[in-house]
Amino acid sequence: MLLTKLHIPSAGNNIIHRTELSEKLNQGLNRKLILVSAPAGFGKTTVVSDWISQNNIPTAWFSIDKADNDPVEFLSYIIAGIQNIHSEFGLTSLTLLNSPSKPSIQSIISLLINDILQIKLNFILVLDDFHQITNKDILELVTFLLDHIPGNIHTLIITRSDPSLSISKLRSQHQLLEVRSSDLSFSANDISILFNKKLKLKLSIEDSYSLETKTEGWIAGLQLAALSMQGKEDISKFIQDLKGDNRYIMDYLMEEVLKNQTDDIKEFLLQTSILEQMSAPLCNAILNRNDSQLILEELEKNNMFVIPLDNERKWFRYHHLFADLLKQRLQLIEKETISKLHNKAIEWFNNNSMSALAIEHAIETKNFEKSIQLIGNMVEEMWEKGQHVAILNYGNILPEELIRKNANFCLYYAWVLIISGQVQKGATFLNDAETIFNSKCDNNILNNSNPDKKNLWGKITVASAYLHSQLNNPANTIKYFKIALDNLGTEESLWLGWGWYAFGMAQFSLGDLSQSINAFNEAFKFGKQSHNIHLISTVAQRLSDCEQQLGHYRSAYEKCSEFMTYMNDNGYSDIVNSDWSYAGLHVTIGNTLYMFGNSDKAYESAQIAYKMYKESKDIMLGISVLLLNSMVLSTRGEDKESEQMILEAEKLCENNQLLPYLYNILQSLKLMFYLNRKQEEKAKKIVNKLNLNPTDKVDHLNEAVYLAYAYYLLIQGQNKEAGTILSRLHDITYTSKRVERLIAVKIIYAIYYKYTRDSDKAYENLIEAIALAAPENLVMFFIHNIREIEDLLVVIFKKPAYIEKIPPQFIENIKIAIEKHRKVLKKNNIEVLSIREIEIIKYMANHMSNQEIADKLFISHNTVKTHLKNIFLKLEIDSRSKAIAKAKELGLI
Amino acid sequence: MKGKTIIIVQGYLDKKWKNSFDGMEFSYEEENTILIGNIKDKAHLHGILNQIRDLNLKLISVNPAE
Repeated sequence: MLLTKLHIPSAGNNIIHRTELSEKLNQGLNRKLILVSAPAGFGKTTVVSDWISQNNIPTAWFSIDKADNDPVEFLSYIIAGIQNIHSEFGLTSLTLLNSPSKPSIQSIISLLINDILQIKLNFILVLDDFHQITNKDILELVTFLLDHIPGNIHTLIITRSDPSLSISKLRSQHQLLEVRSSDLSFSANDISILFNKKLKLKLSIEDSYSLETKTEGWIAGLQLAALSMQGKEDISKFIQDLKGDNRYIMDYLMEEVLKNQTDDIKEFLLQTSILEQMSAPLCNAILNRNDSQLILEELEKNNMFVIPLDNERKWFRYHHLFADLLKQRLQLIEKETISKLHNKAIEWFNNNSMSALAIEHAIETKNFEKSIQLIGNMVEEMWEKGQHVAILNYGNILPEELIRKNANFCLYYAWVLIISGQVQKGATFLNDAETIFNSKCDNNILNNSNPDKKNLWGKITVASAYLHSQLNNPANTIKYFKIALDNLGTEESLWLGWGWYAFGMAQFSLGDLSQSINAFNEAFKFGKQSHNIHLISTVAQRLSDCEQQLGHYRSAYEKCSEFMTYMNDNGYSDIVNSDWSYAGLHVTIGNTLYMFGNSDKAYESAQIAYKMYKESKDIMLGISVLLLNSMVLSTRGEDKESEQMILEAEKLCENNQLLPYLYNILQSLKLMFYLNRKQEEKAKKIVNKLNLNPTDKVDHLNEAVYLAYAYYLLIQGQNKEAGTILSRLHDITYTSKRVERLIAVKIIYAIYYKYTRDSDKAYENLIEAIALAAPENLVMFFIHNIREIEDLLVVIFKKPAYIEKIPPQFIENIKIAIEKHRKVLKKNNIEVLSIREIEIIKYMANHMSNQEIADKLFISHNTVKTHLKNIFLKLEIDSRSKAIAKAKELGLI
Repeated sequence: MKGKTIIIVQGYLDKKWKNSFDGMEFSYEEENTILIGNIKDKAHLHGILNQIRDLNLKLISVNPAE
């Protein structure tokens, strides 16, 4: 990082304070953006830096150059700039930025915006020479920043042409202040003050006007004119000649200025013009002299467009326009010396640990051999800092045949290509890296005497393993991973982490979930050692996903919690709660907590996940988020909201091709939702729409729907048909050991036997379900159909013989969940009526007497009376007519 | 814009600036300088336009030749 880029340029000695511009800029402190837009040489930087120093405004200044077209580099400079005001600013964001892969830039900006809010100070962020930015991602992130900018920070952009930000939007919102060339250009009056008062050149009023016309108030032109007038007897004549000449004014003036210099100084100016920035030792080195410091300071004093880049006057640069004019002359006069000058500069920068600048000179002179050699040495560091765009840029500039000879650059370039989606292109370079490596060294003789070589080979093979895991080629992934494992040193935790990750992915696609989990656990361990957030996050999501697929709710939850704790401890809690790529984790946590019966905590996760899903466009994610929310909301008694979530999920399905598996889960949830609420009409519509029939073939993709359908048939009184489906469902879930589904099947089976009056079998099935659900604490299965199974559970819980093999804690958890469920219902004024009780109300609504009802149901008159008493109690009413009204109101009949 | 292109800037820009305007030929007409050349692609054109901007030259017109 070049700290000189963060230096606020000093306004110089002959500065004219321009009050009207200062006042205008002051107005900008109430707006989001101040835009200073004018061509080179209009004094933009000077005006702004003068205004800042006159008003003592805290400022983060960033002078942008072409090399800053990498979002990571760009943001790193901005953070470092703000740290000059507030040293603790953005530390976590910076660590996050400087990791080889990272969450979206947007979430890093969100993190930054939060940090800015912590600074209780108004300050300005100046982005000078913004026209150098061409990278689309940076333009996007600046737009995002402007959209979300906190009130205490004001952005000031200095540029030669209007940037592609949403300028017109800001203008219409009165959030933009513009300073343009018409504001900046010097009037005849300003010219007269500059020449007479500051430079003591004695200019008449007419001459001032002439100069204004000729230069159009262009400050660089005026300054050059003043320089060329030095030592001239007749200034008026000089101005007259200037006026009559239609040559490009800078050419004309430059000639005059150079004429005034000694040969020695002229040579110094021309030859140093190849440098974007210069220090005395650097100038001494490339010009073989030792008095450069004196010359530089002299030039600065004489207003020769030399700008100090720091307070110590170690580094300087020429004004860009002046440098252009010098460079153009240098090319005409000393073409052959130019490359010599560049080579000396390369050598000096390289020896002084400023490799990035050395590379710039090498590329400018098209010395690609040297470029790739220099880049090859620093590419690993760039990659570690996350400067992917910069690596891609180098890859684009350098000739391919040279890249193919540099194993180091090939490796990192390939990696960046692969993760940016250019898998095929990345694969060829990775292949090259491998070939180069193998040609240079026989890997059979790789031994511990050369750990660097071994490590490089290890890294190449990790990249290959990763590549093949992306291409879904498990055999190759495993092959490369094994080689990597043999070669990587134990300290290479990042590489080991990615290697194990690739291996885990390979096992996953081979269908070996438990091997896959072992591998991801290793990857997770190395991820934590390497502190690479991207690796840790990726692995944590995969890991919890696999665990859940195996029904390991407890360990899935533990993994997620471990990851969340790690993120919180390291200051990334904002990111995991805002970046949508983490939503999957919240869904896993929410689902697990929900199944454990912890609906309050599950609700929190569901809400976070919902907010994140709204920001993303991932449909799969969307469905799982919505389903979770529907279930959680229903448990909280918020039926309307719960239904809304299902409908929203259905809408998502309509507009998109969806996995049939997920679609069936959604439909089964919807069907169960209506059945549990006695909304049989709506349930019937679903059954008709899906065209469900008792004789349909049942498989693992549609089983969820058919399970709900079996329950539907039971309610319809079609016990036999329900039984057929249930027995098939039981067979397929039992054989394939899908424990969760088996639990759900057994519960519905219990209801089936209750309906068919085989209570022994009903208890048996329910007890088996409890035994299956106990190890993973899956409480909620028993709440879904509580209305139907509560009486069964009451009996089971009372008989020790039934539950002797079940951990008492689990029984306790179910009881707590039932109690909780009851409270929610009470809160919503719906005490659960049993099926029988509802049946009785229905008959009452048909104006049947107690005796008639008793006859109809084959029960005694007294039993009917008992039922009625219970109904009155539960509905908190005291008459038959009120019971009917209330039951209708609650949608029970 | 691609192909042969005519760019007109105000004033007399000396031919020694040719190096800075990749592949353009210089000629003069009245008070203006005319740059004619084969534009390879958008990036090429914008490079030239940026050069005109950076030197604070006055751009009068950009047109395809035929």
